[in-house]
Amino acid sequence: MTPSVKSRLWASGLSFALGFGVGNYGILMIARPDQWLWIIASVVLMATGAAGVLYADTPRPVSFWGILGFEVFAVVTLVPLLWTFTVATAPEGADPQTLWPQGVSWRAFDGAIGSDILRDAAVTSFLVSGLATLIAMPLAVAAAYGFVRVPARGKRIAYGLVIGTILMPVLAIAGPISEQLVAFGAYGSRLALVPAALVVTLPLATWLSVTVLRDVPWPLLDAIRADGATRRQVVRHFAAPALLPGLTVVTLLVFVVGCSDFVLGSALSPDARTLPLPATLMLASGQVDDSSAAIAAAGLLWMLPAVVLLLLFPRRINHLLGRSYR
Amino acid sequence: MRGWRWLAPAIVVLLAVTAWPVGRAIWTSLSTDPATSPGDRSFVGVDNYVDVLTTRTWWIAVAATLAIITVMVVLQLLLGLAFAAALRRMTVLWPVARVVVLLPFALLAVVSAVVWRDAVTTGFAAAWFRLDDLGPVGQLVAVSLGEVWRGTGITAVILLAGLLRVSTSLMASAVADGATAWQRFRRVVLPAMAPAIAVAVVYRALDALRMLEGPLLVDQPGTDVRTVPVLVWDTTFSRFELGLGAAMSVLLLVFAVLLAAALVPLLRVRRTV
Amino acid sequence: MRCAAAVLCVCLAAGACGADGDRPGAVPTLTWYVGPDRVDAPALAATCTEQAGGAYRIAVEQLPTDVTTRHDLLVRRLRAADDTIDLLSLDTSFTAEFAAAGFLAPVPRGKVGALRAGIAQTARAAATYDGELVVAPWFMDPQVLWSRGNLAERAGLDTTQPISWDDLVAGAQRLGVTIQVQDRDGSGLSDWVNALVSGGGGSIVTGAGRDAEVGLAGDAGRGAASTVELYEESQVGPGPSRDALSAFAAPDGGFLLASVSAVADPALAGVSGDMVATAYPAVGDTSVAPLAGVGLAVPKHAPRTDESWAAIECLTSPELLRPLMAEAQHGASRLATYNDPAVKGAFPQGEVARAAVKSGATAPATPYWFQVVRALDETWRPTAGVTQDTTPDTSQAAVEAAIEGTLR
Repeated sequence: MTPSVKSRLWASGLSFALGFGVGNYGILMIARPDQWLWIIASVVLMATGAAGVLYADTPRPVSFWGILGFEVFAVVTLVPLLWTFTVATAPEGADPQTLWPQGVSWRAFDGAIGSDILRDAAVTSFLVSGLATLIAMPLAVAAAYGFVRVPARGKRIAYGLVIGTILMPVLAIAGPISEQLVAFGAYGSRLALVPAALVVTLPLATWLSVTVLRDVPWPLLDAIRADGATRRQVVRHFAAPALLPGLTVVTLLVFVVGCSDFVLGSALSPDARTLPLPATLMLASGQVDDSSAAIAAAGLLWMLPAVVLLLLFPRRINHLLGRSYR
Repeated sequence: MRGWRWLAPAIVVLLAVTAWPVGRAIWTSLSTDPATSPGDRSFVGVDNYVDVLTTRTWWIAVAATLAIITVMVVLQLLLGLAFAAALRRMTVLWPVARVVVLLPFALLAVVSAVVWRDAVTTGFAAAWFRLDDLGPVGQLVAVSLGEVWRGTGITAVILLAGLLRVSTSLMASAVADGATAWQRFRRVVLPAMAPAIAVAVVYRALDALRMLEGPLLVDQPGTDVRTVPVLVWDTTFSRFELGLGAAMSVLLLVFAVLLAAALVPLLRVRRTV
Repeated sequence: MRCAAAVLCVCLAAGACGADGDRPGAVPTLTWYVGPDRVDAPALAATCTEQAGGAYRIAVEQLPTDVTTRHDLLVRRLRAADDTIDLLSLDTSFTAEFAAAGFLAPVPRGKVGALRAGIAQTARAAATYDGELVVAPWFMDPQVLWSRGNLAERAGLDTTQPISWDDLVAGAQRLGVTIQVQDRDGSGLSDWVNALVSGGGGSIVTGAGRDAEVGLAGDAGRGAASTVELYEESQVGPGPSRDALSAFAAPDGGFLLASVSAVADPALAGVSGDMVATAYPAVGDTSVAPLAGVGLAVPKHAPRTDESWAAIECLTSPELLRPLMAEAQHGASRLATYNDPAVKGAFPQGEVARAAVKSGATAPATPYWFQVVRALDETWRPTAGVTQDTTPDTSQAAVEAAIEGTLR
């Protein structure tokens, strides 16, 4: 289906006007080197507009609204990331004032990698989130199987509890959990964070597993069973191909989300020895002047596992997150 | 009842880690309990609730939180819809877009809050738009925009999945019948996407209610505007007034339940199980 | 099953780590947590370790600089029955709260007399809660009025008597110099207000419990607010600030309200030879300086209290108080130290400091003092907004709410 000429001309006009505005503001109000970024954005937008006019009356299946939207999307998404990088690589003692990095220095990255406190915090995060994920997954998969396959009274209430816990403001129970830990004498140990982390990991794992299990071709299982397949054959021909990839991604996602928890980690640890990484960064923001570079660098490094995951399974993750509402 | 054999372990653990603390919060909220003065602990009934609900600070915080939630959800929905619509048409770029769209969500909220605050106080946004000494409220707006940025990608992913359910044949016949763009959106697109929009709104609204890192980061003594989570945090973990903090925690939960109760029927969120 | 095994492994590993330091026969290590003072703690620790002759070894750990972070961290750890702190440099403003919370180990009966002997009355009061000595008084760091060179004379101020705030502000205005107010760790504003109220004959908080009396709405509170208002209206400085020392060292710096030890700060290295200390400006007839200091405490769950108290005995001994004053420029709580000849030469502001320690105002002994500090920060900041008509009443209400434990 090819968009109408009128629609394309509107898109081109808007694109051109936007580019013109950006170009003018950039030239008049913005200092270099950021001025170049504004000019580039302006040129790209105006070129989109020009191309839109040129191709308006052709049968090519190109949407100029789509191109314009994608350009805005790219700018909105990438500019803050570029800024994070600029902050992270700012030379010592300088507050960066331009979006484009000036004088890239890697000292904050060196500091983040070499810092004992951050390393301990990362270990705490990995340990707590990893254990909480390992405990949550078997429970979650079993529950998801129950939700998807087996009839039970009150199933909807149980599912409501799961969804409610995902959406619940965890902060509201952080206080009571910390009091409970103090009462048990467990406050201040890394392992004490694990049960609390289940508040985050277990419902999320259940919810995502339900999504995975709903897409599984269950009639195939029934057919294999009817044909008298052994347990090993069921695993090999049904469970491994149909479940394993999805559940692996679920496990990794739950782990990553567990690692980025701030509230519980911050509430349940007395000091840097047991604070997970996000809470440590928050603490550092208040304590150390000129901490932004260190925090930005640590944040970018912390992104890496999630980015790797995203690069390895982009389709599956988008599918999982996008379809989860059905 | 066979199903409960599968469900029971997860549900029992879930109740243990959520219902038990909630019960404890309700119990604690009935007394005044300064953590560092055990001698002054005493049972006060509903006094803490009366105190909170009759204080101006609390209602300002509720109003501010509601305003932030509304603005954040509307922005994320509009941006997410625009991006989803653009990505829907740019099938060629999906391999890249699929990664880029979720990148902001991979950045920790603390880090995003720090760099967004820096952007408007000393950084490029201050230089570009001549922002001069924003003050706590301006910084709160900035960190909230940072959260909008973090959440827009995931909103777009959910909405895109909804958009992909719009039937192309129905759309083609609507175009053939000469329906205007608005009519096509209203009659064809919206009905197919409604569940996705509903989920996106509920999810983003409750996520906005939870936002703590940013507001905590820019909180300064003497600020007039605080959000409800910051008040809860401050009372429980800085003032160590456990009873009062527990009462506010319970009220925060009630807030979340009311928000969900308002949104779920309004948007006709579909049941999936 | 695998999960259980993993948990078990981690438990064992953690346990092994914890037991590592306690091998029989090894010298027990006392971990001493110090705040952001100017004491060369590692050197003192080394001296005491040497003197102990193998009875114990002191290792130094640093607490956060910011007072709120420090307070929250200590409260969280001590509530959790932390047993890794053997010795604690405790801010005098935390003492009442920590004693009321039961965080501190009792001072051994036999040592009370020695620890109290010869201690300035203010420091003794700050180390006492509910009639009992709860920490070992160590040093006080009273605030004084620092000026550069002969500036005070040029401003027409008579330094032999307490200078009034009016004269000080007028003098600074005449010379076009600033009056900086120090805020090292976030408690600068509350210390300032507390001293102003005390100097006016009042007290911010009287009594210890939830029903303590708050004295901000009275004449003393109004006087304090009018002093702050005067300071702000005449635009002689930004109020309590973390950059006060470097602003004082700047060309237009003239007066500085800061602790006696400020002269040892690296930020003042360029001007320290030219700095003169006089008594803190007076609200009424007498100078009442903000007094904050440090006592040495042993947490309740510290595992080796005998060694801890022995170490405190060493740290508070006259030989170790000498470098405390001569090098760190803190004012020892034990008044005899001021007469030590070795100290006199290296601590020229000794007389001013001794007078300030005797007459200054410490934080009121209420367990809720830290809540009061937060309430004062809420209502007196920014200081440019302080007026004598509204601030006393709003801060009275805020402080009352803070003590009663209600939302404000």
